Amino acid sequence: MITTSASHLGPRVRWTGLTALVGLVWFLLPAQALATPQPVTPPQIPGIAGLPGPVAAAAVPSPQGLKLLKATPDTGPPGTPFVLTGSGLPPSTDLDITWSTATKQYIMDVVPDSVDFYGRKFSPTTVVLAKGRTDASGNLSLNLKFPQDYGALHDIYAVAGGVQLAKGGVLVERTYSVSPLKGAIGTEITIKLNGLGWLGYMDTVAVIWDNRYAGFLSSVTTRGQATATIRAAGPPGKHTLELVPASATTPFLNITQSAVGYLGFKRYTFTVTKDAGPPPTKVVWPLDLAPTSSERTTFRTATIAGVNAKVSTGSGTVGSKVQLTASGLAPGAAVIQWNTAVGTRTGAGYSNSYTPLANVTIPASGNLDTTLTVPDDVGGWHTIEVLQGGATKASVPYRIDQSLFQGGINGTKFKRGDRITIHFKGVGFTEMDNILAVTVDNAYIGYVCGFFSAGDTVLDMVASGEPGTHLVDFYPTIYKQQKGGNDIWYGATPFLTYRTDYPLLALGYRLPAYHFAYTIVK
Amino acid sequence: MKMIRALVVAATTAAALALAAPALAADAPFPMNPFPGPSAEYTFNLQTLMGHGSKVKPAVYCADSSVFRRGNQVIFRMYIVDAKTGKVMNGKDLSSVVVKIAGIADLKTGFKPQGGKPDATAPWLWSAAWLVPDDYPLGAFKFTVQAKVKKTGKVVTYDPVIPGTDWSITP
Repeated sequence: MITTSASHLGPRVRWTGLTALVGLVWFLLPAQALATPQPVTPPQIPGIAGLPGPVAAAAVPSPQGLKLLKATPDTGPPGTPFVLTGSGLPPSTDLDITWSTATKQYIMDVVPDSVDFYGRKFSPTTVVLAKGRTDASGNLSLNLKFPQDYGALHDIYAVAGGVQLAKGGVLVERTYSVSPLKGAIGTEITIKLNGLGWLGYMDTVAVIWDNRYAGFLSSVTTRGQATATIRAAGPPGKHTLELVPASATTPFLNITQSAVGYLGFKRYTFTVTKDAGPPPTKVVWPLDLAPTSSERTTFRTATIAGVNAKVSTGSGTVGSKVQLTASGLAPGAAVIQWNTAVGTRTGAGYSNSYTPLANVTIPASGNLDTTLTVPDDVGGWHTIEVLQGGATKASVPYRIDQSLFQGGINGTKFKRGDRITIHFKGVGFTEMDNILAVTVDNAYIGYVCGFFSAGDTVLDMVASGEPGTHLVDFYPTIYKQQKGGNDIWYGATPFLTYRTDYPLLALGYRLPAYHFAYTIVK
Repeated sequence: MKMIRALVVAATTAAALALAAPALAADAPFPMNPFPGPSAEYTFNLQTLMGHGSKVKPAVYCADSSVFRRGNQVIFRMYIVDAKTGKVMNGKDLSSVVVKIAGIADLKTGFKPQGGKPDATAPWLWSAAWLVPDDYPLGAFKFTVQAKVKKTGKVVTYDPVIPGTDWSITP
């Protein structure tokens, strides 16, 4: 028989005894990385292609100079057929036709009290796109296709024996799809992009709605493809939706005057047909992707040999129940402890924190079977530990997912000047889940943060605007980038491709977007 | 960023020249090369600019750039300096200076006043113009410069390309 007591203590309640000592040591130590920042392999995403060929061996330019390869056409979207021709090459020679591209990853550092974001890493990569052979006169002619790959400029070389003999190049153009182009206020508009490039300025596209910044799409880990949804904001009538390249996630409004002017931009007109009232609140979760890294924040301890422990579910919302079972423990007293992070990035600092969830007595069998209540705490990955005699006997990771508190929004009809509140629980503490970016009628207005408030996050705003339906949307976003030189890429702005391209997906996080609406009445 | 590169190349060579004497005189604990590359007999100070002969009009003529569109005119211009004497090498010192571009016949440069006008104050440089053909391959753009020294007959080659930061041709 297991006895349980003193559960449901909040994370800010301090602890006593050895646990407190351990915690104090941790509190006094500066936050240090468990490892250096690392590029993290992105998850496998359905429909996203890999490299368009095997990696090519290194090659050097011919000392006799390069001939030219002609691609016809040399501009088009992924999948475009083209003919590659060359002349003046060695006769009857087998050639590798190589294609310059890149691999891209996010760089992150999993530390005990955060996951720090260090930006994007691209690694130039050359693959063998095709094999060819010159004729007896040294001519080459091949029918090929632009592969499904990152877009923009790609160099093509004809290579024999590690020597580049001839060079060509193509522009893989980006494609746009926006659908539908008319509907009532709140209509979901799907934006699909393909052929985004791999360099900065090329893998990010900003969305502008009636000259208001709504957020950005990215294809850092999705090899040139990006899909996102925004909602049609009112009033009824014609509205302009623009898709423009972005640098640090914000729109680069005169990209055509830049060195990458060929990227261009796209404009659409969306017709809002009617105001049918506020659509219901909606929460949209990312794709359920298998994480590629097992590193977890606060997961600093391991289950000792001979002890097995598990939780009935690896994730849940605050206040939910989770069953913890273990075997191989020593009979006697044990403490079940919750490892989390507390503090602030506004100046005072932050650190790990340890909170007892329950005191239990392990019977002679050495088995533990108890139900715990998930604390009202910051979201993301935590650790549930079983301590005996001050030592960790078992340790299991647990993820708090975000949730709405009491339905989120405090109403759907307001007069101008009324207060509107939107309330969340379980907002996280890392640099990539501690804030939510906010738009009103597709205009970015700022962010809300949940770290210092232990995940409890409230937007308090004043109802404004013309009578009719208005939209409020919340998206995951990156709070901060640690380093990056001239490649700073964040801005706390709406990360519209959060479902597929978000850095934390590789670490097993699931961060949703929230969609609310209300009506201003006279 | 790429636009800066030509200037960086120039600055590097200039800095190398300026620092050579004090660096060599310093109390070095062991033989060392204070420069990021091997020492050279001749240094090249090269710029590529948007030419007035462009069919596709650039935003600003004569702007330094390493990104050119098809139809832009590329102006190659450079000083070549004898690193030993510090002398800027002119038409009496060099019998030829050519730009070698992949797939294109050698581009001969001339030692001319900047802008082509015989102005008393105009700096003289080795320069040549190249109109990027409408069908020139897109992407990285490779070239080198070869100068032939009159006195010795030696051919000096300058490869300005820093790996990963090629000049490029765009649509």
